Amino acid sequence: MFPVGGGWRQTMAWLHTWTGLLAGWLLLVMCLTGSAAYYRDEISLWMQPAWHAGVAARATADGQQQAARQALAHLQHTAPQAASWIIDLPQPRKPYTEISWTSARGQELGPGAGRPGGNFESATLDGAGRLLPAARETRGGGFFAVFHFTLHYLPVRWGRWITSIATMMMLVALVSGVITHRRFFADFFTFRPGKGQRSWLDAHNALAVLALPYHAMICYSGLVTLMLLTMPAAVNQLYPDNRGDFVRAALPQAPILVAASGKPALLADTGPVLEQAYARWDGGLATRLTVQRPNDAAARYIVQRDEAERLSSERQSLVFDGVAGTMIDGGGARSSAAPSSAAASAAAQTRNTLVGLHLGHFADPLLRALLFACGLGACALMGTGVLLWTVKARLRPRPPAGLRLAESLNLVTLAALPAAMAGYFWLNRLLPDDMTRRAAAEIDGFFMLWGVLAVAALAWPSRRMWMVQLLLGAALFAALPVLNLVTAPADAHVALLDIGTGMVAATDAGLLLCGALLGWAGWRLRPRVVAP
Amino acid sequence: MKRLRWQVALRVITAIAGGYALTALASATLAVLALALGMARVDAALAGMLASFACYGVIIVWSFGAATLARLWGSLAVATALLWVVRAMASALA
Repeated sequence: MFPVGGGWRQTMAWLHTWTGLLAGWLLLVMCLTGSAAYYRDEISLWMQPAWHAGVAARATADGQQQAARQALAHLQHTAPQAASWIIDLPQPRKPYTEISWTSARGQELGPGAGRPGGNFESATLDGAGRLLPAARETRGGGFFAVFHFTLHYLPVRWGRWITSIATMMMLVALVSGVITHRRFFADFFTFRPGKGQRSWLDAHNALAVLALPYHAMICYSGLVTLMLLTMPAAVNQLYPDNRGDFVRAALPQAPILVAASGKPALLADTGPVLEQAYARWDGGLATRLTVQRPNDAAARYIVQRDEAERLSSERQSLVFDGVAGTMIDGGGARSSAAPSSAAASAAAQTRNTLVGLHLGHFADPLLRALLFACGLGACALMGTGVLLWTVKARLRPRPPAGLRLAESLNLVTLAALPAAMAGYFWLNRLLPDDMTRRAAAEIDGFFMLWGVLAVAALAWPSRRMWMVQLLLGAALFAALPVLNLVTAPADAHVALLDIGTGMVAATDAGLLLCGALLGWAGWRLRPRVVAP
Repeated sequence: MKRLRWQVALRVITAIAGGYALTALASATLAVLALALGMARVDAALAGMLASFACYGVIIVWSFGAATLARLWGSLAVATALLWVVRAMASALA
């Protein structure tokens, strides 16, 4: 009940409870899938078993130069007449080279070279320059990343608005929670396990305080990523007539396709071009090499910087003459509407850094694991929050009307969702390769499984249901490495371990760990024989 | 009980709708002010947007924390008037 005339702390406790309760379950869903998205590249590779037997391409200066030469050789053979070629060079978390091209007709598509335009084709090469088997149709780890702010089935803007509103409520819950909280540092060291409500509160407080900087960062940066949609007042004020000018000036733009001259010419070697880019970036690696108008006198190379090496998500790109191999533009691919200085200003830097922090592309394996752990910590914070409410509500003399629903939703988010996420991995391996709409079927299957488990949770929100669904999730996760072993090519694991990336094996280990975590939680809920 | 419900409903509406409107005004004002003080146009717009969520958060918290509705609405009205004046002055300068 709203404490009219109550003190600040009481009011803030009320606000904390209600924002947390109303947005908590949606935030849990976003947070769990968003945490999985920290490993989107790893999950995507796991979900392409036919690639596991390939030789891993190295994300080094030498490895990238070799990959670029191999890619160019392949493209010269396959699509010499293309309007543009795009070569996504090997990255630490992507040990292969993705090439794509627009066919010659793509010339009429105009600017934004290389955007899918109907006649857009792609292929993948391994570290030895061999063509990898055609990619299995799947959204891979990208599904979790996109779902966590679009909610998948909703219209484009709705999902983003709903997730932004929930995130704003998280911000309010964080602020009011900190104000409510009396003993900020003492509770850091307080945990009284096995004491029901008191233990949940202790866990909630400890998780909140322990990772508060993370919670605040992920919350605010999440709002910032969608601010042009949700809070455009400042842009409307300064760009009243043409919002496009702002977008062009503020966000990195796809390079504009140069016009062809019609005169054939030989492409310059990519090695020295990349070498110049590395030197320019003090050894920083490239992420993408675009070739516009290959084999034409007007050819251009555009080299984009690897954002994984830098905190900020701002893209830096260099433009080279494709025939002479000399640098034309070292200031980036920003349009002329942007400020002429190559270095981003403080405001742009702040925005880019916040977005970069949210995406976490910069993180090395250890930091990535820490970010993932923090993400799970945020899930646990929200989970203990909603559990705490139901535990307290159950103790009231007259339990509130929404108690049963709340208990069911706890189950739907904390037990059913992880099981359904494991199910998504299973569908990736079990659905036939040549199925129509295969990628969509994987996702539909995920929601169907989640839906079935949710209905069961709504019908019987019991302790037994908690145990059953947690153990189901545990079994589904724990069996994934076996499924991988059975359904991937026989030499896959050996090949990837051999050259030291071990990415798929590491993903298997991570999935096993998820299974162990769920199994531990489910095992704790087993029925215990009580002495009569 | 009934009065309490009104109290909560009015605060919720003030926090969400009033808060958003005031935040939009504050965000636009900050952007114009930054522009008037010599920041590049694109950066001024970004700065205004970046600060907006913190502003919204504070207004929402204040909407529930203010002791009385009169004090809440009074303070928001004063803030609106102030921001309006600052925006007009900065617009003239920019």
